Amino acid sequence: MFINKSLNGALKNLLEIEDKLICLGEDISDPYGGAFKVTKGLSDSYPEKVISTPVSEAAIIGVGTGLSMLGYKPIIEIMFGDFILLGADQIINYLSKFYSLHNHLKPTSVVIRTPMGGGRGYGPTHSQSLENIFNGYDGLTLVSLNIFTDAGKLLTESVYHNSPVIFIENKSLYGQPNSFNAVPKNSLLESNKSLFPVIKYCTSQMRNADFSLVTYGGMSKIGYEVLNRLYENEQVVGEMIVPSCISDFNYLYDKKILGDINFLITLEESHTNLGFGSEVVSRLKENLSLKHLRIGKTKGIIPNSRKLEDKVLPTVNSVYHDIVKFLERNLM
Amino acid sequence: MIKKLAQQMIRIREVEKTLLELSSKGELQGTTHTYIGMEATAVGIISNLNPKMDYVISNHRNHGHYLAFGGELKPFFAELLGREGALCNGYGGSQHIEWKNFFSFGILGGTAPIACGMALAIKLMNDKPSIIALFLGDGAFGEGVVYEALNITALWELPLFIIVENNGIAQTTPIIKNMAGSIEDRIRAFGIETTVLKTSDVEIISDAAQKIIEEIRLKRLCRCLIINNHRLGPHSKGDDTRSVKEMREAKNDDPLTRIEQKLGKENFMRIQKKVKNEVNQILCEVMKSSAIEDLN
Repeated sequence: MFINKSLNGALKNLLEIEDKLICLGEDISDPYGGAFKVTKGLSDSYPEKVISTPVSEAAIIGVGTGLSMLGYKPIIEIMFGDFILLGADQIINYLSKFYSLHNHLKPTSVVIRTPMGGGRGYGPTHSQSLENIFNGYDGLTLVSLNIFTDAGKLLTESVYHNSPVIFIENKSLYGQPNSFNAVPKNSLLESNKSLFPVIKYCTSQMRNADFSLVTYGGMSKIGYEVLNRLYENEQVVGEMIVPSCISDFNYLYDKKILGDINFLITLEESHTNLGFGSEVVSRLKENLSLKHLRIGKTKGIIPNSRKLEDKVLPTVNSVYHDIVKFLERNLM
Repeated sequence: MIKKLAQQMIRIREVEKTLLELSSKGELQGTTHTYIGMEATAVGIISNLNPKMDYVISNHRNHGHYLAFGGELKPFFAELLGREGALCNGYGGSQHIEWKNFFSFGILGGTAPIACGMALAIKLMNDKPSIIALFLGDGAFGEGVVYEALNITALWELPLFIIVENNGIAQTTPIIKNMAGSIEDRIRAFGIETTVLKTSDVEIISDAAQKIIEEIRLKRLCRCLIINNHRLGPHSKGDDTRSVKEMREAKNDDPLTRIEQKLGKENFMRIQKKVKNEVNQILCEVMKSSAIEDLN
């Protein structure tokens, strides 16, 4: 099963069992079924609960907030992550504040699903990873898909979460197998089994990791391929930590997940300044001997041409090269 | 009936005057936006709602709406003064109030789609003829999200009652300097039936509101009522830049003067005295309670 089918199946199940679940979004109804087909077949089965909306991101997020105030569980699809900015005021100034201020309401969760990221040649306004903008606000939870974690299960957990969730679906993952676990023999893949699992992958069960890579989202696939290539080519053992909830950083302090490390690499699809990696590094810098490298997109807007896009966004080759240079400087 | 409406209007006026006084003494936490001069609108409209099943979504200038909806005074004062027993534990202040079916927010316009969502929930539940009453000021019509919401409420036929309080001035900028066309033309462009009144007579407003509310309950559609009224106080505390002449003209339309004429001076004074005592007594009680020390 692929990740888009897993999400579709989870939505179908939720629509079936939850009276108060409503899907809202632009072009989500059949026969089109959403720009990335995640809602395909749903409006035919549940015409009153799957509603195509006008092109009004701010309003449909506000409608979701209003629905949740009276006990509904709205799942809102924002067609491209880039468009979520049109609803940023509704998310930060209203949705997150209603949950903090209006405590007698006990509102149900609002889930805002949106595809982020590039790798498809969609250019500067349809390829960004903008989740950093929403990360850090009280009353908002950010959940992000990755190659290892069951996408449908993450979506279901988000619906039952006790605060609004921005649910990030990296576009490059839709066509990937769901809950990938076909890792090489003698490597290690484990989950901390929390509701929003943190995954640990290490290329060797026998040796301690030479470095730790913290990443999330679509970059989990690139990180996985780079770690395997580094092990084969350079015999360097890397471990990779992949959280599915990216607004909670507590896993960084869990010794079972991230032991004593000396070399830390962060990898994200967005820019590295003031981002996910900066947060991870600053939290772990209390360990002063730590050497670190932040990897992300290079400066500049995301080009439309695929060849140029690959020069801006992290790829298997660029990440591999960055890590080798970093390790050569410090380790090899 | 008129006595009850008058009592509510006088109560709003007395509360607002008290708040401005507290503000000048530095007792008030943060800002406040008083409803002075607009009392007939809140009372005329909200007295026709059913607080058990209807909802009010208000804005920054919310005190009149809150009190007209039956909001309790003691926790309200406590919220604005940061005292124990506050409505939102000292987090909301003047602008962000929640009490039973009443909600208000401090930024203009963004409440419109939220009210649509609540109205959609009411429509989907289809068990009570509830309505959502959304209060917007003329200033909110500069915000794009309002038009997204107008489109959705008309398109989806939501039981939403939009009340536009056009006091003709957005903070310090008069409407002629910030609006092309008119509010009613903009709303009618979405096919929303709109009634326009220019009055400070609470009975006229109440009659119009009653008809519209009955229609929304029956037909489950969006309707709009625009009340052209006057703000007789500053935008917030001391920021009124209008001329003496403008203020004199506005004061000719004071809804409390109108109600005094209807009731007779003696009746009016009797109610006013009673209300003043009540407000002072509650304020004294709140002032005696301790400041909120603990975060939620």
